[in-house]
Amino acid sequence: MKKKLLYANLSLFLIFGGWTILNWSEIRSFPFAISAYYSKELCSCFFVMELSEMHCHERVRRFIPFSTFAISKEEKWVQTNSLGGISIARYQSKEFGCVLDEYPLAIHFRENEIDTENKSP
Amino acid sequence: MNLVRICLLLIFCSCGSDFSPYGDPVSVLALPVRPKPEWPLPRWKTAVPESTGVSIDGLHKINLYAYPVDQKDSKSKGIKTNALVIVRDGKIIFENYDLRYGPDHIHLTWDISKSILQTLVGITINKGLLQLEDPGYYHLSSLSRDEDHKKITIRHLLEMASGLSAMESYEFSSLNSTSMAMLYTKGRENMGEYCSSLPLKYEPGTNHYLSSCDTNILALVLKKVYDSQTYSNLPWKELFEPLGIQNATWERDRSGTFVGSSYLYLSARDLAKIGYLYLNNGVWDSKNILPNNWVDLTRTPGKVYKVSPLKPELSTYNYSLHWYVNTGVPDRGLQQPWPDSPNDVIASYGKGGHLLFVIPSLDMVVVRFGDDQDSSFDKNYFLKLIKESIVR
Repeated sequence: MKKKLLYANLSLFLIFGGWTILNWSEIRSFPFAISAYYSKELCSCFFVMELSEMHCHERVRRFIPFSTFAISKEEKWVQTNSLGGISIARYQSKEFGCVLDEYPLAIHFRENEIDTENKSP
Repeated sequence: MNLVRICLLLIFCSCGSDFSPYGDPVSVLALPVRPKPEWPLPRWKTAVPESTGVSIDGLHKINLYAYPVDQKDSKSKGIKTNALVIVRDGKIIFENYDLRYGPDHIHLTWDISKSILQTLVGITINKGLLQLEDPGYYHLSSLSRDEDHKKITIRHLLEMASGLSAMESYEFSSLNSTSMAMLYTKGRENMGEYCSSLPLKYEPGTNHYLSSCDTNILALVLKKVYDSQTYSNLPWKELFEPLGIQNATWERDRSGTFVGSSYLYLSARDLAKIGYLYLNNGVWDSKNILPNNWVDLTRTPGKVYKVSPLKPELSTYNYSLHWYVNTGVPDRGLQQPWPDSPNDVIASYGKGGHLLFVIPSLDMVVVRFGDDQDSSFDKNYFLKLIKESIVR
């Protein structure tokens, strides 16, 4: 009986381990997806749509119940930390709204001409 | 002998209308002629509803549906409306906003951005800089990665038929969502490049799948067609300014490409102007903004509808070129998505319950910005109320 339980646990461990290895890239990016979503949408809600900070948190948090963040109204950026993934969104201008800072993990899809105005300080 | 001649004549006549392998397109009636249309330059005129043949009672029912009496900020379910604007005969006959919004307040349009990106594609075709049947790689080198990617045309992208293996989902639990990766993680540097790097799942033009990736590839194609400065000013110079839209934001990815799929901000009144452009067959104040047949193409289900594997969303979407239509596709057994409303409705809608309806037979444009947290807002019922509000 104990042996059966051991095999079952081992099988489950192997399946979960295999799944994790296969999806490692996506799993690793998960905290960054959450924090990027929160930073970007909060930045746009507050600086572009000019809604109140409280209302913006209500709108964005509806999908993300956990986040810590900081907002600079002077420099116009929003930073969020979710599960260790940190993302910053910055307000650019009236025409072009907010944009996220460079993605901290591997970047594969970059054109030659990145706008200098969008570069992280 | 005469019979042979007639047969030859019939064969000759049918040569120009061969849509093989797609079969005949769904036919749409010509748009009603609008003699001496009002142009909302720079602002919309307003009119008493009855003067345009719309009943107050009907509008009251529409308003009650859009703004239920129990609408609250904290409500997590049900219908919530931020803004509602109804235009008839070129004048605003009804508008209502919740406390945080007003006539000039811009709102994130989410998926409606896709339809306005289509407008920019139309403008570019009108300038002769792009052709509907051009393979995408003519303009965007990342679509030339292999022979299969080279088959993707501008039309395929507009019809959401690129065949790329995208996964459209906004749930954080969807680890393989390409829309999330595109907007927030590895694709956010250059969304069009990321999307065009996806492998093909279907032969281009054979399967319909709504994907933000197809739109953002188009946005990048436009960037390649124009020089940098012209591209950056394109929405304002070629569309917003001619329409008298003074307050608009269109966010870009880090490479400076417009996020055509999602990030356009307009007021409800200004979004109604985009609808009004389509109601007027792409003409604005006597100037052709769009190619001659562009609005008719927009009113016709995509060619992919003739070949795509049948699935429920084909009927739900009834998709044309980055817009939704209400024709159905009878010879494939696909019903109208909104059977209680005129079949000439064209629409743009998306996340949150935002919608833009253009109804040529009723001479109406309707804009709603929602904040719905579920799918309880019934477009068919809403359109039915609109239709029933018309008394003449």
